[in-house]
Amino acid sequence: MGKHSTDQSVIEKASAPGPDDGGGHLLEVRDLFVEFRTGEGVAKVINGVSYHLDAGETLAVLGESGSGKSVTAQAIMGILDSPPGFVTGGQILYKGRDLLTASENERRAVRGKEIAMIFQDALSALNPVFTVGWQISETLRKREGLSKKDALDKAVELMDLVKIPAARERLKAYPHQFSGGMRQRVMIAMSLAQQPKVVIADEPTTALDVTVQAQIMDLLADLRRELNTAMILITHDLGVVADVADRIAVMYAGRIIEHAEVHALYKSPAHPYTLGLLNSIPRLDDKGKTLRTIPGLPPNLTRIPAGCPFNPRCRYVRDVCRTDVPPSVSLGEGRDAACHFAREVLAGTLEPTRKDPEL
Amino acid sequence: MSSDPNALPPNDERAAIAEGEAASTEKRVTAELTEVSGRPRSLASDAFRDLRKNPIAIISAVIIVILVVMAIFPTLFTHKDPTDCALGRSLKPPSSEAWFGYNFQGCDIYARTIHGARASLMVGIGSVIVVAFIAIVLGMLAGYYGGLADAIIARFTDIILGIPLLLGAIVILSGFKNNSNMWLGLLMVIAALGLLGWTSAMRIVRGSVLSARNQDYVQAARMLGATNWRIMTRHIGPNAMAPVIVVLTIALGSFIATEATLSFLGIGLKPPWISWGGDIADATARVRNALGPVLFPSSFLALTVLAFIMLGDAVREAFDPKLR
Amino acid sequence: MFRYIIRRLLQMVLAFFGTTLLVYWLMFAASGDPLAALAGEKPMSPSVRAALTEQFHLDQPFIVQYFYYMKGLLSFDLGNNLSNRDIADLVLSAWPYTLRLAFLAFIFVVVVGIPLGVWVAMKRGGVFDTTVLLLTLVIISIPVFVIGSTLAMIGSMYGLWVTNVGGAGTLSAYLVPAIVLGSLSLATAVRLTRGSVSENLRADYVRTAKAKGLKRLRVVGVHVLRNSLIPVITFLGIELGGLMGGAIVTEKIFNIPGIGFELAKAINLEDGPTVVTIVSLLVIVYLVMNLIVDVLYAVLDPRIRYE
Repeated sequence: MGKHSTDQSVIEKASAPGPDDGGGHLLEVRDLFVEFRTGEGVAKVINGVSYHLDAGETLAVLGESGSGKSVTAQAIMGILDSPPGFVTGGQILYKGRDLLTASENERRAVRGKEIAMIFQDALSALNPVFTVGWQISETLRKREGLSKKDALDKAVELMDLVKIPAARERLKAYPHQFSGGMRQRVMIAMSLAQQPKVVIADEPTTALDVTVQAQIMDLLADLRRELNTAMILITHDLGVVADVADRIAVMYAGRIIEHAEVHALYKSPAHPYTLGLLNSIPRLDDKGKTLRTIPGLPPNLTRIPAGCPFNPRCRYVRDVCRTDVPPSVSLGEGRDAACHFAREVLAGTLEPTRKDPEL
Repeated sequence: MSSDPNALPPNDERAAIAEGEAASTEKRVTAELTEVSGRPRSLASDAFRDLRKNPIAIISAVIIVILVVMAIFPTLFTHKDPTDCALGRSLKPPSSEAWFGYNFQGCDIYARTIHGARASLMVGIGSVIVVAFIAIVLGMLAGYYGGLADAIIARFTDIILGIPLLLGAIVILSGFKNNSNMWLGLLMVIAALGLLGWTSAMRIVRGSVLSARNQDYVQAARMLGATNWRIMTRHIGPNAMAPVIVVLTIALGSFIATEATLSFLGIGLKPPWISWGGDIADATARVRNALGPVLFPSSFLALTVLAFIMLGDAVREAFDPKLR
Repeated sequence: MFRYIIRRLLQMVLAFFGTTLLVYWLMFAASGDPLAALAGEKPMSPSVRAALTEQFHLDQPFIVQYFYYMKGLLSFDLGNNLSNRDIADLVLSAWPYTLRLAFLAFIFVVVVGIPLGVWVAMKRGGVFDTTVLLLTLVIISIPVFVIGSTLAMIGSMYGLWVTNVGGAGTLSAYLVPAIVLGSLSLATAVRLTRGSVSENLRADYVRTAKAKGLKRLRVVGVHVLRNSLIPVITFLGIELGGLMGGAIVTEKIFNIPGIGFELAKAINLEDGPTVVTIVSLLVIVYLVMNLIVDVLYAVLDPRIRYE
């Protein structure tokens, strides 16, 4: 594991909020770098991501597709497809122990048992040829040493917990026989089987209908309260996080560009990107007005723009944004933002340099 | 985990240098847009570029070209008459006179092997033409019209699939073996292989047509009132072409192998055709201690089949984006 | 699953009659002179002519001929061949040899092909993978009779293995013939297994299984294999049907008196009744194997079972 420069450590320290930034977090990602080496070139997918999670709390990681939010999660789990993915720097500390330097057996001991993951598309993430009972109880049999019958009983309990009706009868059903929402519940039950301390939910509702999305989010919120599990909720949907998350980390082009307590961020974002995201949420009282979207597309990760990676799309872009990468600035109360003008954005005093694109 | 010093921190200057000055943001955004949405570089030209760099494809193509020349102008390779046999030189070993030696009948093995290419290639190409015709017509009907046409063709395909190629060819050819016309004999072999060997090619055509049919641009053409014929020939045909060429190339190789097998069993091509399969059968039936008469036609046969199958395989790989 | 099987069964019955009708038609009607097709160019005595006409009901309309023929096939009343031997007897005495050879070849394909395919799939892109892939292409390209003839010749020249198995023969005598017979299936099985496993290794559920903290051996050995083997097993089932019919060449080369050997002999002797009967029987075996495979497919893949 490469030692990162003192320069970066400073940034990392600055971005770690809370009084105890000397560690002691349940899970902490420090200055993580991941790149994908493909025939088309090297894509720098994660460029110095740092975040932390304490017991029982929920951190929402927000970003567009390609911002690196899922890749960070895969790096934490140690299930990055390699090749093409390579971790090239940083630390992932679980209970103070760096997982990246741990042996494969040590990592495996953490996977599922300490940190579990809920995947996006339950239909493809569940094995199509095994019954859900078999899949939920698999780790109980193989890792906890339960008998087949006890493991299945436990699976029924778990299915009850995630509110799958008629759980015992459905043990022998296959994933394709469930509806999308029920499948996602199976996925959640499976992730809870080994009573993990941390659950990483990777866009758990993206593949679902809107009404079902709300049910699943409610379920996750309930479970977190009941089981006191810490959760990293990965999503691209600002709307779903408000009720569930304690803190939000916003990702863009493989960096955390803003990190704040959830209500503070909703009230007054400190980064133009977050501002743009909030403005693009349709509101009932906005009827008749044009939705304000963020123009352009996320950068190609093989050619990240110089300076602030968001500068080509930023309404407030200044010359400095095109040359200097903004450091993460601490704004107090555990919030920080990687913008040259974070304080001005927060205060709402920064003047746009570009017009809104009109439709 | 490597301690890679090149892992660029976000504010590394090299990133900026490599990127060049990001002067016009506007231009940049448009560039990104075309990067994602545009890219009209066609799969076919990509695949062709890949093929030209693939040594296996090149070697196969060269072998095939040589074989075709050999089949058309065998006298470029040998001046010997393959039917000039004299028992007096039976099984004489290779010499400068006869490079591969003489077989049991005292014929020049080299000359016979060279002249054998013609029959093999004629059967292969002939059967593939029959197969292509049946497969394209039935596959397009089934894939494009679906419904009843598809169901009927599927059942008909089941019937043909129920007959293993070799067994079916045996039945057809043993029913027709009483003719002595060499061209009729050749036609029968081609017909037997062609009429029984089209099923997999048909399924490929059907599959390609089915997927092409549901593409937006085909739907659009249909909305605009293009005729079925025009949609099939202009829009679907070209897109279904690549996989069909692959399966036909491979089929060509396997038809040559099957013809040789039939001739080996004594119901394929008969003299005066010079067939590798027939020569190998003669050699194994008569002698069990001379490798030459078996080895040389066998090698040519195997090389021919290999060339077609490898070329087909290389083309498939080049056209399969999943394998890139 | 029940509906699926019923549907496949109906389709197979249709294919069965279609196929046998086609074979029968090709054998008799298509040639114009059924008697000539049956007995070849040899001069035929009026009594043989009469016997054949009666046996195949050649004085009846075509469809009636076919009906009698099918009735005979299905009740295993196969009639006599041209030298007046009961074809059912002939088939029954030859069958065990073919079965022995086919099963040995099948075991060879399964035991070597699947592990090799899984192995190269895990080392995808490496030197070993490329070599094996190229080798399978070479094997696929060399016709079985070439491999067989060459091995038989080498075997007899250097006395390495039995090349004239004959009637007796211990199981070990069948080893080389079984390898010859299985070579093509082996190469195909390796390629198919490799493709299927490497596709499944990229599937999402593999990531899930890893994230559960399962050992790699279990992820690959249970999760991936259970999925990847579905197409491989169906292929192998059809191959088993094909191996029995495909033994003509191998049995001829190694002189094994099985079904294929009898078929090759009948072709040479221009014994039409034997050829058409054996081919029909092999087609039936092949069709039945196809049906078994279809059912097996439904058993193995719950997505089909519960459609």
